[in-house]
Amino acid sequence: MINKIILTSTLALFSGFFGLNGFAQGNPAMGKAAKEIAASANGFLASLDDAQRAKVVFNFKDQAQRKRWSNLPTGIVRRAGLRLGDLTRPQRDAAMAVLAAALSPRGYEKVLQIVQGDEVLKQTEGGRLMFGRDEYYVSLLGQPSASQPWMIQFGGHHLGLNITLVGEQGTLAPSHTGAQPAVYEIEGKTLRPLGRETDKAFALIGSLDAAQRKQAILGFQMRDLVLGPGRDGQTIQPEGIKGSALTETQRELLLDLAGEWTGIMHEAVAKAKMDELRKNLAETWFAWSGPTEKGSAAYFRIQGPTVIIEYAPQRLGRDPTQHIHTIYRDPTNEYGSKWSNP
Amino acid sequence: MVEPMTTTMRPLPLLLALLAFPSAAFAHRLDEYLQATLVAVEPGAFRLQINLTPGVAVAERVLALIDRDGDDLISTNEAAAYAELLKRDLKVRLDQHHVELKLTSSSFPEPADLRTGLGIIQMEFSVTPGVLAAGLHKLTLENRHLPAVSVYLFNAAQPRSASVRITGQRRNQDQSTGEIAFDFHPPPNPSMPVGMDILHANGVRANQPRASEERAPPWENRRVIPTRPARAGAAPLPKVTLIECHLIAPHQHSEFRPRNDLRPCRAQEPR
Repeated sequence: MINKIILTSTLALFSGFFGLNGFAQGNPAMGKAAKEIAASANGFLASLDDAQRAKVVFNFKDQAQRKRWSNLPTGIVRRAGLRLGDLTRPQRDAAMAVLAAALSPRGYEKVLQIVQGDEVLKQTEGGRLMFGRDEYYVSLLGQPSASQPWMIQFGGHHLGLNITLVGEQGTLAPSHTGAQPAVYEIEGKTLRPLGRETDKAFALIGSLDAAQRKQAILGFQMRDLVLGPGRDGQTIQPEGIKGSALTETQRELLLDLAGEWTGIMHEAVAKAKMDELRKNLAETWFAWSGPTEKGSAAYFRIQGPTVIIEYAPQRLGRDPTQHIHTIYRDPTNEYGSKWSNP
Repeated sequence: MVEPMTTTMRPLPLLLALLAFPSAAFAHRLDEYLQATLVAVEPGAFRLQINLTPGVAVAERVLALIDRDGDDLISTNEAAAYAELLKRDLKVRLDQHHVELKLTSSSFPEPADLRTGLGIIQMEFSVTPGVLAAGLHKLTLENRHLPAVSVYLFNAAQPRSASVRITGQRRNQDQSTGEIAFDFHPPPNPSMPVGMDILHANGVRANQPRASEERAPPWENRRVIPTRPARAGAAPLPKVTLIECHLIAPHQHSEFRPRNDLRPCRAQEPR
């Protein structure tokens, strides 16, 4: 069911608020992009005063800060860095420009819609201060660089982005996306932050024949993510149907679905990751729990040698399709460990 | 939609919880106690990592079991007592034989955080089965802790050791009971060359017959680990080369294991 929300701010104002014009354009080589992302981050740092700079920059090897992300609101799991609500308008724009440079346009749009969804939650669910767009934090681990390892962290309720950049390499693992409400309306426009993931998953499960479904569908209920926030470094035994048991068309559907997470990152990074997933496709598993009718609440998991993706509707008092948690991991390269060996 | 309340839950606490946390109630776990268990099967032990998240409507009930003196603080003794309570409700069997759990770590959030339905209690138990025979085994966990309000997750962790291979997992519908079938093949005595199978980082076997004697061995991907400086007067230590390898029992010698089953091991080779 769509939450019909009348907000005082218009979508256009909202877009301006988050600096939508700062989208990285085109598909430049990652070397060029690395310089642009670093320049954007340096621009953000230049907009801050000394005290703010001291709060926003951490050592690249700061393990405590690295793990300080969650699906939970900031009132419960305290983040560090700078809170958006404490920044001036130009500083907020500069912070969002860093994300716009590091992410793909559709990835950045997804982030904006998740944040806006939390603003909707704040306005519809009461006056608690732990929701809303002001409650997102930004931090940098290491100094922005086109060659040396550094990280951008951005997150709050239902969002935990960990973007590690090492020269021409980059990864989003581990990161969390979520949505509540998962469908909402602003000024007559329906927004679904995780809508593409949902639709593509049902398309994939719908493409399986009876024998394939028997393999893919787990015979038990899944009430949450298995490897959600706080489960760094852990991997589980894969289950479901293996990529090698899918048809060529189904494999493309699986890749397209996984691309909803890998594609959050800058296109150059996303392409390299997609090439890797394609190479490992035969060893990649797809598992499903729940009904297969489109629009129902169902859990799914994609697990391969270098990727773990989970999607879990939350049965927490209301329609579970309106409250979704997801996780994206790379068991071989969390926080860019493959390149930076922290 | 709110799931039907269990018969053991009374309406009043739920109503009070909803009134106390109007937004948290709909944003986060409500009338469920999520108990997520990850089971790591290792050659010398099993580890059960359990995350416990009480929903806002059941948090007081769980807290009453933890904060026994009601002072709104969770003392070390109270934490230990709750861990013991949980332990009693976990029935673990290895090949149909009951095994003892030992608490290895625990962490508790503040009671105030638990009441919001957002706090997570973390506990880790271990089982040391003693000498485990090579071959197939089954580890079963039955979680009987607060079943009227609980939902469960049960999963086997991907083994870190090449001597353990998960062959299957089974759960009941709500995952309160799970079974992990695994194949255990301990490495043979490393001093015995029979059965030792070494894979280099590029996936080529060190003891694999070479197609051509002219082909250079694949040493390029070896990582040389610096050794400690030799004491004055002592003979220089040989260089130790760390290569990715695993040991395979003789009867398994015909199969290659997947790359992600590799584990690092040490092999000394004179250079």
